[in-house]
Amino acid sequence: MTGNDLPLDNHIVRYVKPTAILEDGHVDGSEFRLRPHKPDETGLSVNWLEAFEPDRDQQLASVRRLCRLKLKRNGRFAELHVGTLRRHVSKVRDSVRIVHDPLDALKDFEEDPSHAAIVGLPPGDSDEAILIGDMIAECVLDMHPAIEDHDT
Amino acid sequence: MNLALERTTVTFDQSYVFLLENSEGDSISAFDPVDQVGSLLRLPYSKQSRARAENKFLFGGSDLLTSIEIKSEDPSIEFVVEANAKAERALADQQAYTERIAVLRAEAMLDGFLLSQESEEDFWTFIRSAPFVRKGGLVLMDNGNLRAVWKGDLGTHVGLQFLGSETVQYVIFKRRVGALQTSRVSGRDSFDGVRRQINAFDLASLIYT
Repeated sequence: MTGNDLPLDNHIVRYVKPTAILEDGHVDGSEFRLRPHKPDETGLSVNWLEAFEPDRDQQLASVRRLCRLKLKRNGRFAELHVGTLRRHVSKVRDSVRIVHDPLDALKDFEEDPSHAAIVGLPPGDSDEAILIGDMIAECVLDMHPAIEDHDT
Repeated sequence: MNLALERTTVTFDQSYVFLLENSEGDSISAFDPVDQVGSLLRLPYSKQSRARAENKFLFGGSDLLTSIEIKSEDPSIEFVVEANAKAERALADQQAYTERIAVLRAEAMLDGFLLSQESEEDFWTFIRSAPFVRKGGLVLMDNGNLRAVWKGDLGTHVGLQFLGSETVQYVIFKRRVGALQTSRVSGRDSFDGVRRQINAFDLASLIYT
């Protein structure tokens, strides 16, 4: 499955840190660009929800459990529809894809079959990157708590 | 009659009825139309009679119990009142920005990066470069720069990343009513240059009041 495009009718989530969440609760587009200080980065990490069995709460719980990032209570998972994102961004750049990129188990981490990546993005410090980031932010369907209250 | 104009908050005892005189010298009761506490009076009267009424009101020695608002009409005073309201709002917005930046700075430190001082200085320079700037959203990018976003209808928005040296990276999305396509541009420019871009997209009202 590695490298395969995710089905267009499926969904992904991306962890958004608190500093990238606007006062109105929406995610800022700058969170959807490659990080300029990490030039080797080729894709944006996301999690494929349909990698897990429904329902959505269960899928999100699995993502939270397997996520290797340090999640913060005031962080959020931004949910996006794969097809909507690709269609929207293709208006300005048709190389953007969302591919499956499962992570193997490591010493401190379980394997993560939901890991995927948004690839084909322009360099993070380019003007096109921030424009595309804002377009991706327009596609966000929902924002989910990064940490559920009962998780602590 | 040239209508007077001012928004004046006064306090009065409902049981006390005093007389105003209009410019023709006829007596009218200022409070005849008032049927409940706090009603707005819209009485046409001259500045002279208003001043006389105010003097009587202020120095007449009555017991003053209830606040009401008297609205008279004078375009020049209305302008001043509006400007004062804008100035108060601008101050409140600046305070909100200050608090927001403090939160972002603290969050950034927890995440191991710093807010760029140059970016912050540029942000404040931009905000203070015009008398009345609307409150926009503010985020901190992982390169340490501030990014302000002003949103309008139909996905219209302006995003400005403050890069330092009075340079911004801008993103402008503009969708006109009835248009199928959204116009999108991004680039880097000076403060003056980006203002020209914003004006060219007819979006000045999104940022400036």
